[in-house]
Amino acid sequence: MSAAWDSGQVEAGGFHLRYRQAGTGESLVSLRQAGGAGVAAADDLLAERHRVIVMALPGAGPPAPQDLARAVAQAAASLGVKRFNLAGHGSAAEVALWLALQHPERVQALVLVAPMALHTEGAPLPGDDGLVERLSGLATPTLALFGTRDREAPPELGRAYRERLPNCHVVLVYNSDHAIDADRPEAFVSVVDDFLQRRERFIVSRHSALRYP
Amino acid sequence: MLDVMSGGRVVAGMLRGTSNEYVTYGVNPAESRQRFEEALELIVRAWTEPQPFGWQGRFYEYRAISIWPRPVQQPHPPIFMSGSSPEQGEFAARRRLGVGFAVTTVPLAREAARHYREQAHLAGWEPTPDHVLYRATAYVADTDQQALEDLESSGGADRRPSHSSNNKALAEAVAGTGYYGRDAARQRARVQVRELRERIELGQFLVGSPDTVLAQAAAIRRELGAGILEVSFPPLARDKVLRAIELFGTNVLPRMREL
Repeated sequence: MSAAWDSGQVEAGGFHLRYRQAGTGESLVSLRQAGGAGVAAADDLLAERHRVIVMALPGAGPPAPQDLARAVAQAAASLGVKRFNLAGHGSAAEVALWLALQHPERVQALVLVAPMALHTEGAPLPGDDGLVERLSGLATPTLALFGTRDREAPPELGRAYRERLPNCHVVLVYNSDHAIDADRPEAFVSVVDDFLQRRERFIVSRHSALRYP
Repeated sequence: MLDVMSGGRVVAGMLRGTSNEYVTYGVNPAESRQRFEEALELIVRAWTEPQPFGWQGRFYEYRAISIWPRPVQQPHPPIFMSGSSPEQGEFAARRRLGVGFAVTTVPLAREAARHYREQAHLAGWEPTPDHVLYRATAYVADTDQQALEDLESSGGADRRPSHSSNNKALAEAVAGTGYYGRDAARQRARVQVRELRERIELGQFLVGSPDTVLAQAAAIRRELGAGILEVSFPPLARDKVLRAIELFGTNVLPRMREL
């Protein structure tokens, strides 16, 4: 069953931010690049347990990621969201990281989906304004997901996030390309949901091996 | 760990497992190929990732994988897998892995090796003889006659039947799950029970004097382009087996290097 999605637009920090939202529970703000705000099967599944707000970041410009991060923080506040979980897909991960650095008290946990905020060796991207050196100070629990078939954000890139972020957990999603939530929605939602509920404790299995009592 | 203890000499043989094993462990054989392919990718990733990682697979799910010690061989030890079925030959060719042929016959393995090479060529590489392994049982005696007599009188040529080899209904139950792929009849022919003479003729069993066994090894090298022969010796009396190993080591193996 798919969730009922409302859509709208927020003016914040000089940007028009389009969003869709559905579900109730803790808020999950999910940032996507322009053109990526369509509802994926994974968003429907996540909306069963979370208030999911999918925001499309303007692509033209391109605006500085720090400014976009401030705008998203304002937009969330104007939607009545004070503390939230934050996801960043692809290059929107850079904005998500900036937002977590700017407002560590508001971002409970970060989910980076096939993120493209770092190079393979952890070196800054061209035009980086000091993001990389600040990452070592980011204590926010972070889950970074990579598809094993992704060529844009290859799974080897996970190492760079583990090395740079003090509280980052890398999970590889088998047989997935760049759009992990579209390629493997059940596998994606299962680990994201577990991480958002339990944070670091998600590494401990809750499954019982008992066959019959 | 073995790679570290052996100074980087591990060669990994990754096998899907026989249908008997799936029955024994209560695992559905219909999913065996997909499970194998995922498991192989996961193992290679575990060998090569320097940082801990989780895995959201189709059949496997782990939150934090981190192996220690890391393999000595970089990026990882060489991998062989069974190349007997067309599906596996294609997978090995795509992944640039070596193939092994076991519990088969030389004519069946020759076809499978040809398919593997064709697929590798399509994938842009050419396997060398070191990518192709053939496994057989060998028994060497001073003469051909002696070798045959030893085997026939000891029952050493007998194979233990599997749960399904003498029960057609059980064999059908396994085959019906889709364990075998698109050439099921051929795959099932591999495990068919055969008489000693036929096994020798088909290259399943290398039997005879050192010259005869060398000629059989040469045929395998030629027909399959196999650069690696893996041999085991049958369970005969201790002195017979030791003699067979000695003859193989002194009169067959040194001459095999020149094939």
